[in-house]
Amino acid sequence: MASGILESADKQQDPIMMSGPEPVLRVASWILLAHAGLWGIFLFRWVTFGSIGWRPFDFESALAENFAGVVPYILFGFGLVVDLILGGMLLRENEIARKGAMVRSAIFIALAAGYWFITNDFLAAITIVGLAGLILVLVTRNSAWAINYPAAFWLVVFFVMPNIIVFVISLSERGPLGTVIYPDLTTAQGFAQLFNDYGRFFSRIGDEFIYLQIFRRSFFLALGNTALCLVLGYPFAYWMARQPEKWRNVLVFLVMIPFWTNFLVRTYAWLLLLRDSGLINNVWTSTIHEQAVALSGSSNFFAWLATATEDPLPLLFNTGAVFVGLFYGYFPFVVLPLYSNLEKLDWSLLEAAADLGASGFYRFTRVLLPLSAPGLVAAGIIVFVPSLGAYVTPTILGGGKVSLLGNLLQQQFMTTRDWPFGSAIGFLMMAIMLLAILIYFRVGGEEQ
Amino acid sequence: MSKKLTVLFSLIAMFALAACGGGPGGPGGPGGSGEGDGDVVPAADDALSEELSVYNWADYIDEQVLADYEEEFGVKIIYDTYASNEDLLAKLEAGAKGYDVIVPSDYMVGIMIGLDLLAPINAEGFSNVSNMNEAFMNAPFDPGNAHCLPYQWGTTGIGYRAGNEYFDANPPTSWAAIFDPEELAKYEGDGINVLNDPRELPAAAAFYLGLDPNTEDPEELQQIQDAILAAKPFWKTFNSEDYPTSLLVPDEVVITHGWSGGVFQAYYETWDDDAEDGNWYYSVPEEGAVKWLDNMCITAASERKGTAAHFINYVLSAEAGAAITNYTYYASPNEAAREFIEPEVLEDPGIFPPPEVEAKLSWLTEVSDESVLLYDELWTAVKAGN
Repeated sequence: MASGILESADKQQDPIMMSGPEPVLRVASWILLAHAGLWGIFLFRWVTFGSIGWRPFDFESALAENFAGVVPYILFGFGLVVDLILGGMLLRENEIARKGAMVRSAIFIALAAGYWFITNDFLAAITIVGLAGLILVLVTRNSAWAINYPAAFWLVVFFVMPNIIVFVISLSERGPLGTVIYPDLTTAQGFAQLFNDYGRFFSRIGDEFIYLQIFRRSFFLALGNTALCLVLGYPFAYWMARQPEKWRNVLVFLVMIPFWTNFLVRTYAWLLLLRDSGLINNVWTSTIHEQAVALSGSSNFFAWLATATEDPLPLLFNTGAVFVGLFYGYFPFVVLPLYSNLEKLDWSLLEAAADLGASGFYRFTRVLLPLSAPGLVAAGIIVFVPSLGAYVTPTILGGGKVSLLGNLLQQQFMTTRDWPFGSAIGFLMMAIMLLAILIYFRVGGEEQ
Repeated sequence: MSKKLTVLFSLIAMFALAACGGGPGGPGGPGGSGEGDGDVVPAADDALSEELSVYNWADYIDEQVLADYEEEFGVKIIYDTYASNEDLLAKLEAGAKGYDVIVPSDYMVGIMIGLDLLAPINAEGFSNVSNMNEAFMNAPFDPGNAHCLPYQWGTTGIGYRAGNEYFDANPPTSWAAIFDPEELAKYEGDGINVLNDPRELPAAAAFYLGLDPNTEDPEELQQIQDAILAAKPFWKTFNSEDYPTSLLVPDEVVITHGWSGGVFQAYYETWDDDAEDGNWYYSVPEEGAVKWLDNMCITAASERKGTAAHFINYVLSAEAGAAITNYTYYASPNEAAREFIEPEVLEDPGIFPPPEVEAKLSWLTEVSDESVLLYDELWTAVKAGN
């Protein structure tokens, strides 16, 4: 039966596979032909700039400035012809065209690099490199590369390159007016200054290690938040996982509802709840206060309550408010991974443990907890990492009085304009988070 | 195929011959009257570009001024706003194009000049410069108005809740109301806000201590830091972004270190028609205070410098200057505009301080690069302290 299905699938696929060039080559040739069309459009625009008031693209202005005269015609015309020919021939599976397309892509990558060097137009250069690289990968006929190319390109452009830039800046020095002076590695002094900004983080201001104090405060706040989220999120996720199946999805849905509102808006909502004239303090200083005053003659407790409710509770603009805000913001992030872990748990193992005489405490610590450890670690990291870099919550709910790593980072980039020091702090934070994730893979790996 | 190719090549050759050049012309196009060498002056009324992009602080202009300009000169204004000098700088430094007129504050003008982000202008070429109060021309951050012309000015002082018993008896006329722990203890529970600004707060402390608000002396900065840290436990918030609406109007605090316009905003938002008064009063402390000036400048990257200068000249006219002050309640550096400014605005000592107060105001100037580090460390210590 199973082999029959496989056979029919093969039969269905075969004709497609045989009807033309390999799919990768066919895609490559269509991309080349589309390029040819693009060249045609550029050529047409270039020729008609005099008569039609096109709004010039950046690269067109750059061309006009740097290579006036016949060069753009050669570039566009040559591109048009080459891509047309290569694309057409590649559709017929021509081996020379395949080699030609490789050469063409290599040339274009070199051209784009040169273009970027001259004009600093990063967007256009990276687009050209991306497309040329795509064709190059496709014509190598390596389908694994071709499939992974878009993701790899994305990662390189938006993750690897920015991180390299941040790292290089973190090795630099702040110049006049907040410019960045890149490290000079030709002198011993330049070499010695490389890690100045990292050193500064571990240095004193006056006679106190203030940067380390800020780090310690952020670290313990993040750790405390993670712990609280896990302690309260675990039973909640457990309870969700034990519900009848039809209710579980509804519960997951309910947990996700807060995400429909922007995080900033929800944080401001806490402001309205917690402030002196907010909802909670309103009840405290008017409703409760009035009742307490009315009853104050009857007992000492009410007399005490009457005086206590005269002033509003200090709910906002302190570390406690930041803690509440962080807990509120990240609680759903703990429940969801824990739930997805617990939901897949084999509950019969717990029943077996009970049958063998394990107490409830033993069943929890020896069976349930080890089985759900990967979920716990994942949830912990998901909360810990963003809590450590929190910026919005301490700014709004801390009233600007609670300084955390995120605020220090913002201060370096915006007010002091010391990008190298800011980058160094950013990299140190990243190192810590990387460490946390390595721990996760260790623990998670052992569980597997 | 060869036939097709021949056709293609001949087509290309034809294009090349027929067009003989092609490609976009030089950047700019119409209205590039400021493009030539030399400093920018306003373009002629009939040589304006079609569009002009103005980038200003939020809620800082009477939009009617923009509409009038659009109607009179047929220039479409693309208006956009920002919340802080740092935001503006970050955007320009990231290479944002298309902003023509910007309105940075004094110290930021110095930074932007140093970074070559502003186009040099020739102030003598602006016909309405003669309207301006001499006191606001030739400021230390931009000698000879080589890059910018004044827009609006104000002071950084103390805002306090009207009707508060303690302040009715003892109006806060000294910086001691913000920095003296003995004073602070009397109304600590009612809430005190200070500006979350690494230059304004140390400057206020410097006035309190009788020091130079632009001091670069490490010992004086240490005194300033100590004074701030001594007062910090009494302060409820550090807020310079939205304190008028989120702290003053809902009575979260009773006293604030604040910019004049912010306190006036709270005053007018709490205006009571019966009492004919608002809830928030403003005072300039007797020790002196920071005065600041926002300036209209043209970005170096602007492709419509002539039109931008023309717009700036328009805003410097007496009528436009008065309209803006009547809307924002910030003082106008425009002497000729006084006759069009509403009397109650003109007579308000918080908006237009009397001469004896004005004599005690001072600019915040950009400190040297070595001292930037000192100020940063001071601020980090202040924010991290308990």
